[in-house]
Amino acid sequence: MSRRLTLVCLLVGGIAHAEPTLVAEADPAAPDDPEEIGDQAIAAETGIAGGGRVTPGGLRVAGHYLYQLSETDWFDGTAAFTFGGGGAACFRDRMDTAVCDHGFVDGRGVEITAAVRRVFAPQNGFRPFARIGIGLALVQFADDSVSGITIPLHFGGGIRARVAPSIAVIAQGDLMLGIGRFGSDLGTQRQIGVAFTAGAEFRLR
Amino acid sequence: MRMAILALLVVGGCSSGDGVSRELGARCVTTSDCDERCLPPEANYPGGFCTVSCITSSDCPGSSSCADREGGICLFDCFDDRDCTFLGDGWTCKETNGRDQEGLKVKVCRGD
Repeated sequence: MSRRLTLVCLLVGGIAHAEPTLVAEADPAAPDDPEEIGDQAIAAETGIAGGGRVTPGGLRVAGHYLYQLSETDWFDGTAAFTFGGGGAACFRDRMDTAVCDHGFVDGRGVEITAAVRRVFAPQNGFRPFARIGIGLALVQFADDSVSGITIPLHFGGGIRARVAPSIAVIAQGDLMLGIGRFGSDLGTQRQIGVAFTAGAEFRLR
Repeated sequence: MRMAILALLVVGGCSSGDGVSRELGARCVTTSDCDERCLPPEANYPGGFCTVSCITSSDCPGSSSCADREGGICLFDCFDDRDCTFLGDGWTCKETNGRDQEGLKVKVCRGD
């Protein structure tokens, strides 16, 4: 009997001891600042995208629609445009295979992306977040008459800082890996790119 | 994130070329296939050859020399025929008049 009582005491004590820990762990991932009313937001960002070969890069302009899914997760729908430069850079190698060797900021592209943004606990006034998503893009390298459709996966993160009751500034980095189907005998090609953007986010009431 | 960076490095690292570009070495039929100049397919340039005009070898991309052919063109340097196999069948290493100095020979890849 005494042994059973001891066991119960230990279990109850353990739970009682564990509860504050659970609360303490959950607290940093608490919902957004209560002053930020609304479960939707829009954002505009600009920055630079880098690609190369058949991945476009250049000036990146993006618009976001954010919808809160849970205390920490937001749906992030994005329309992004990439405006790069560059000239003709595709050729046939000695094996008679079509190859493109565009630079880091060449080409153009338009992409829609569906992503999930997970927001973490605030740190020194900034709220870090991670982001993962999948997109569908049209890319073009006009001087080579090369265009294609691509499916990139996005992995990234950033920080967000509130500057007014419904306004925040955001900065984020994004790594893009995917595949694309191109014309001009290029066939299926991989997509590898990065983007660094910053902008403003507006909560919708 | 660490895995993604690793994947980027691995995939990026797998894409080293053989030095062929639109400037020098690509196959071509017309000038539009090259940055500057196409030597169309024939016995001297099997498959066609993108190149640049030159007066001396300093006008040529790395690993190539200015040969006294076609008014001065850049061709890949070589030591023996094995250095020219990447260009395909019909390319061999030949001693050719250079343009750097009178009478100076250069060893470059070319056809017949």
